Amino acid sequence: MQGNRDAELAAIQNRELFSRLTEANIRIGELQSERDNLERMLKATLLLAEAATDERQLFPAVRIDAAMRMLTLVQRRDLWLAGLTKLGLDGAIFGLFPHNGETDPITILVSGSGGFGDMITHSCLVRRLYERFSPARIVVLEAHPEAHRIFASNPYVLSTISLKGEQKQQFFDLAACLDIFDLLVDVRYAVTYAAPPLSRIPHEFLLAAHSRSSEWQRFVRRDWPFLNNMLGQEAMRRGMTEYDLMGYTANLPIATRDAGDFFPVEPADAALVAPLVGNPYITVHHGSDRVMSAANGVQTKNLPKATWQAVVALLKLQGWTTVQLGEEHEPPIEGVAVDLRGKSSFDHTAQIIKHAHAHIDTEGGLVHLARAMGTRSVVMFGPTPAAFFGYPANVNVQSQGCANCWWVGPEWARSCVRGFAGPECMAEHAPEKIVDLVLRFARSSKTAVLQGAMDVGEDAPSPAAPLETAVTRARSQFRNSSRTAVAVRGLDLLKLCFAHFPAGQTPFDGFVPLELFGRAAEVGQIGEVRPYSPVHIPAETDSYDGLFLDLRMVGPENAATLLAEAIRVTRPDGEVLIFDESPHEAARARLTALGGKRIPGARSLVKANPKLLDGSLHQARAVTALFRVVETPTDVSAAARGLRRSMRRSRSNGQVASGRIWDRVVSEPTRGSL
Amino acid sequence: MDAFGIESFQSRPEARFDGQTHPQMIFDAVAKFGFFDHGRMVADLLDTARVIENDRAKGKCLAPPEAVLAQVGDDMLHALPDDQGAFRLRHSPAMIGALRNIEHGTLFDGRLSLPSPIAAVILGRRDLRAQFTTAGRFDFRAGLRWFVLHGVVEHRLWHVLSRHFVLQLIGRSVPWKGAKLTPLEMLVLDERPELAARFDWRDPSGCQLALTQGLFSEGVRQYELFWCLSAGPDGSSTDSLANPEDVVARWRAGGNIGTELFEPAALSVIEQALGLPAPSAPGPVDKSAANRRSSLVEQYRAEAASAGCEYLPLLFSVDGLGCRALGQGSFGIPNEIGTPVFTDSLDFVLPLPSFRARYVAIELHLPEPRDKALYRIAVNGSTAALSSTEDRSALLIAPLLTDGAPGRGYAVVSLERLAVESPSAAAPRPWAILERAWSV
Repeated sequence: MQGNRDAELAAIQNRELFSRLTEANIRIGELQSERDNLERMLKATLLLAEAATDERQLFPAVRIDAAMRMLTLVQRRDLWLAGLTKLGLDGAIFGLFPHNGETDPITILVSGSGGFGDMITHSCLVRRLYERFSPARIVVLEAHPEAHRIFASNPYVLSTISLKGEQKQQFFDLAACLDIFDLLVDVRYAVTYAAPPLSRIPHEFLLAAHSRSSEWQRFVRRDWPFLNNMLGQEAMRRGMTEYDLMGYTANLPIATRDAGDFFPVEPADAALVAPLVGNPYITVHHGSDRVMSAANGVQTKNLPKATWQAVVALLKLQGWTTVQLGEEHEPPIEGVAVDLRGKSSFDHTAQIIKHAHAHIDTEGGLVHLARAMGTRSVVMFGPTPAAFFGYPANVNVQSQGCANCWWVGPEWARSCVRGFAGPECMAEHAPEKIVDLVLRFARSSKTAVLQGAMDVGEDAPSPAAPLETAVTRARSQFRNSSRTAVAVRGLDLLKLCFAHFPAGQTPFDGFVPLELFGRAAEVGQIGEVRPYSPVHIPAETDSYDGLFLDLRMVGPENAATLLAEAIRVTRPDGEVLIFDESPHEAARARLTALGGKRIPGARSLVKANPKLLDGSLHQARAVTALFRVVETPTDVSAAARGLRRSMRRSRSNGQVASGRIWDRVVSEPTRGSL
Repeated sequence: MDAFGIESFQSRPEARFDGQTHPQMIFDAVAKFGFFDHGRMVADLLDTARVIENDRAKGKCLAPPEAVLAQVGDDMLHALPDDQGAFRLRHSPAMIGALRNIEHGTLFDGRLSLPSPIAAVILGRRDLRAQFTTAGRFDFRAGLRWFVLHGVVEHRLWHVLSRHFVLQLIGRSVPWKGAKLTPLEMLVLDERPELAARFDWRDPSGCQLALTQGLFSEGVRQYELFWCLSAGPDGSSTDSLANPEDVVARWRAGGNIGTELFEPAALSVIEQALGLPAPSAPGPVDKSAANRRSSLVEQYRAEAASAGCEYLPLLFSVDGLGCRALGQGSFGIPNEIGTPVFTDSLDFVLPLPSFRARYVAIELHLPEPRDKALYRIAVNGSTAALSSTEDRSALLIAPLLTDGAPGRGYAVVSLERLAVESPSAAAPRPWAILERAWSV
């Protein structure tokens, strides 16, 4: 019996073990099958990717797309990180993941080359791309090693990468084969788009842009940049400027009246600008960036040094303070009152230009910066064409004889292509003519005069009451033709005011601080919202009839700077309404203190009669103060008028303007070599 | 050549990283990092959080990648045990806690910050994308509406919630038609637009009050928003826990100190009031049990801290019987976190929200189908509900009798098993599992 039981149990155990063995074999078979499938997938990926890199194959992008689809999200992310690490990159770009066609914001790579001026020009394209695909994440890829100085504080830009040559091409290739970006933008005056795999950019947009840019590819795709002269001539033949061409080929609303962006964030260095406080001044710049310059730091497109000396001397004679800006390697101009070459950061340079009454330069980066800061420039052109590079807001002086030789030869920037020791195109510009133009177009001074103040106390119907008051007042004052703006510290206030108007019909432009701009998309859907920095409102000078400025939570120094900005962008006879939330005494002290503030280039920022404040700020939790902007004549302007009168008298007496008058102050010939 | 053909490709001289040969990079990456790995995806995201936060601090627009969050959300909602990596993610309090620290964005003009885990859940429901789209754009507000009113209960996602989020949801005021509503009320109005038409908005404060009352009297039950109420309104949950010492003192006098049901925000207050470690039950003091309870509390705290879980609605410890202190925030699924009930008589302190709480509700689960149980809930010593069940789960609702001043202080609830019939009654096993407890 026992033996039978044991045999039976053994048989049962055998059956159980056999069953388990069978199950294990089945599982092994499944795993082998799964491995075979994975191997097949990888081999297919290999073939597809190989085919994608074979130029003989048609439509490689499609094949790359297919190859990328074979990789998982994690693998694509790994590929991206491996590429970034290999290129030695760092920063916010590591925060980008493959979008996988999901709901992430549109991500765009803008690739460009050139100096500071070119980068400021590209910033206009960046802004328009952001507005078109808002809220887009834009990465800027530039060849210039210090591109971050231009884009670091630009709120439209997520990250800036500086790569040159083969590395730049490697990064572009990496971006082209992954779904990190939705759009690759190659800027070479003409804009070329490419759509990486899984791109979410609308096809209609791309098709229109491709159809526009295709005819320009013959100038920019091969031998870049040696066909730039032909490109420029073709553009000018069609009446297009650099901005027109960029906007046309990018299928974006960019035109010649646009300007680039630069957002200075630090207040100007007090020690540097101390000589300029309260003094009207004019900035000058002589030289070019290091890469394209000759050994002496200048290019063929720069004025002769003697011309600069004459210009500076003439301006000094008329009472103007001149400030030389630029980099350390650029040659000094004898006679300038303040030499800031190599001493001021790009931020400070921008602010010094902003408060200048005019800027004098040859075609180059600081002209683009001055335009971005809203300052008019007198620009002398020679090798580069004014019709292509000139801003209509500036005074562009093109040489009448020899001109437009840029990229005729590879050394055009360093030596005259016709072999002259000094380019005759630039020697043609007479200092007296330059000074005459500067005095004619120099910006006038403005001062804000306090008209009155009122408190917005506990009876205020809503938190937006002061804002509504400002807009209503500006509109009633200037009727429907008024152009008004609000610069607020929080999105709440802006949205409350936008809510009073139908979508897209808000009667004013909205500005929000840089740090809030990333979250302004919700408000931005209702009305146009732009960012402003503590020291810069990105708007044209004299462009608004009324401006409402929210000074809550703004420190005293920045309050003065912001008020100066408000005055700058408000036209003469316009109004600035400032809004401050503070106790009575603090508000009174603050308003009074603003009256004593002085900034570079302005004799007086604010005229505030303390008596106007008495008795009005009783229970003020919030205070609004109304300033009227008035144009202020300066002594220098009077001197300039005197100069012009003397010039007319000289002409009527048969004297040549460029003769006796100027010879008194110019000790050497105005025309000379570089 | 290896099994994947990588070496042969690497050996080709022209295979280099120069923009012409992308496959080299592809296969390097594959060889190095392997295939689908959810854990590494999340680790990568968490490692990148610092970059995202730095970028945000500069006012830029970097955000947690929605493609990755959608995958994480898909794992959290749909992963099956066979999907090893994904299933691990679903059960990872560390991941949830870490993700919770990453804000995905804000809603209601910045009044409500959207934590990444909730964004992940919303994005994980790809089948609802059409409903979450407004004017051609993905609308997280619509997604949040689904999550709050449906998703939390549907997918049992209480562990995803954070106390901070809940307080924002019911506390911040959103201006709307002259009234100030909470984001929760706004979401309810989004869901039920006909409700707004019922009110006369010329009297905003009256409408606001009516809406709030309606939400508490009907909405909470309809949408099972009990988790919302336990946090307290207006961000003043801690303030609402007024004078717990009085309540506890009365219960001590009655000899009713038993097992405590804690809410984390109230934990320190209750501990202070009870003077933990304290006698756990009437009768001789069991020091070892008290110590165990104390250690359980510490363990809970450490666990909550490591997981970054702020909102753990329940902490249920049974004295002297070695039960683990478990909470909804630890593992997420009530069936798994359910606290086993061994003792015949249980008392616990329930901190009340400062809402007009009128009921306490307890959901029990009887694991053994052959069990039959009778149990009751007593509030303030009076039997408030007496129930018997042969069902495997029961929801008990008892009115709170808190001295005519509803909504402030603490209620102490007794749960007692009056009878049990079980063929295995002698075995030391739980007779019920407490799934949830809340006040309404």
